Amino acid sequence: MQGSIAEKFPQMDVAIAKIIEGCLEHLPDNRPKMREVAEILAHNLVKDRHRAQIIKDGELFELNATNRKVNIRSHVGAITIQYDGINFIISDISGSVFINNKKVTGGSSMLSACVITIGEGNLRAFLTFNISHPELAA
Amino acid sequence: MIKTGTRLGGRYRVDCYLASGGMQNVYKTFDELTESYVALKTPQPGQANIRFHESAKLSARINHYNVAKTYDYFENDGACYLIEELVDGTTLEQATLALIPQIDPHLAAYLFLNISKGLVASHMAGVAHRDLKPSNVLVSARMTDVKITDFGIATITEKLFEETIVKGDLTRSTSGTIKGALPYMAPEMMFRQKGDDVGSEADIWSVGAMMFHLMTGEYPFGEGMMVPVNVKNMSRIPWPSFLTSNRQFAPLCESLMSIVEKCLTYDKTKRLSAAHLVQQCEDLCFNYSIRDHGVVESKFYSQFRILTDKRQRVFFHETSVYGRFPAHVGAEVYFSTYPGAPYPRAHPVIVAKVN
Repeated sequence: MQGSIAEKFPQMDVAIAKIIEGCLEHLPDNRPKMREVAEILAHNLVKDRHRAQIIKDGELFELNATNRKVNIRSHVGAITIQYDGINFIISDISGSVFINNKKVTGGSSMLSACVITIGEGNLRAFLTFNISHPELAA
Repeated sequence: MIKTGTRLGGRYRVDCYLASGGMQNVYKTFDELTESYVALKTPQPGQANIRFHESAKLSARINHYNVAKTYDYFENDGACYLIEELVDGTTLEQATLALIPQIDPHLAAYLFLNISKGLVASHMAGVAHRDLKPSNVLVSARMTDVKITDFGIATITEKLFEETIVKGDLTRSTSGTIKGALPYMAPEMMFRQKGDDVGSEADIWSVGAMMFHLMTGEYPFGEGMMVPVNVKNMSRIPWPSFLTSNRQFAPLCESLMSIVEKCLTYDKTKRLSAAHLVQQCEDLCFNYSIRDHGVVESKFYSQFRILTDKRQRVFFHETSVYGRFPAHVGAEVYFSTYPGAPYPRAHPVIVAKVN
């Protein structure tokens, strides 16, 4: 089935076309898990409807479909987060940056809610990160 | 009271008494057919059975994760019984304001969204609750499940309201059921005349009043017979300053306050619909994770350390404290935990009520 859905419906999102093709695989072991199917459909159906709020020392930073990138600095480092319509991704960091106490590198996805720590020791700055919860229907 | 072990309806074996609502008794019951536990509800002695069946039919129309599902209805020896999904937990009232002075905005957003989703499903099925209050919302032990209950009983309450209106003024009733409903009751319901239709908009007011109560610890229009006076005079208590004084929580609180204000609109035609309410709640940026409990054991400048019930240590900064009461050594606290070093980090932290 590979490629057939994508070819027939070129306007369809590539990820959705691929997962439908996967569902139609002849070998059962090659078919995706239903959880993966649900995740891809859910992600795409609420594309660009998320918001994220980051609070640093009471200052509010917001990411959404019209403001897709924020850069937050402290005197010991910085983090840049981008919204691609589905995920919030760390596109750049400088200095030591931790998400929920785990050191991160550029390119990783943000959790739906977490504490970001910039820097180490006494100079570290804490930021809270929370996203909204759009759904298809109630 | 039904004795443990009593078999009813040919398949339900009463396990134990659970609770009494305003008009009914509830029992944990084993369904021998499906081999699962359910809630068995029956009107309290002296309560009319007349509309119990009608109310069961109404509530059975609603099928949604945030509404306790009605499974069955039967009559036996002149008594009527309703079988409902069993929520292994307690009422929202017992899970929140019985323990803490107010809920934090993240929990408020989580509850608001879940209750609103249950309301959309019921309104789409053509069923209005009309008696929405924290004791009519069930939550599982760690609040992973949030389910509105007693749609049926609300219909019976409606009968009581109607009878009270025929006798006189609803707002002067001495009925415990009506008194319990008043703080959350929409003006069009409170001041209605016989024959006036009260629609699903009343639920939106009620959920707004309920969220105000949960978020502030205070009833928006006071208690008892002061409620009708204050509702009539449009005299709602102001939002307490603690909601917006901590800048860490202010943005979410301000969004929540704005939604509550829209629910508490006097003109019911201008109130949010349940579907719009869900949309607005979905737009809130919040985190809900399981709450833990512990006691603050030490303080070092603006940092505190908690000893949890599981004998683990968690730290928090004073800016993570939300609510009416400040943190101090010896205070009981409820909190969410994030990984951290050398200890996990608590955020937000709510100081419990002192009993």
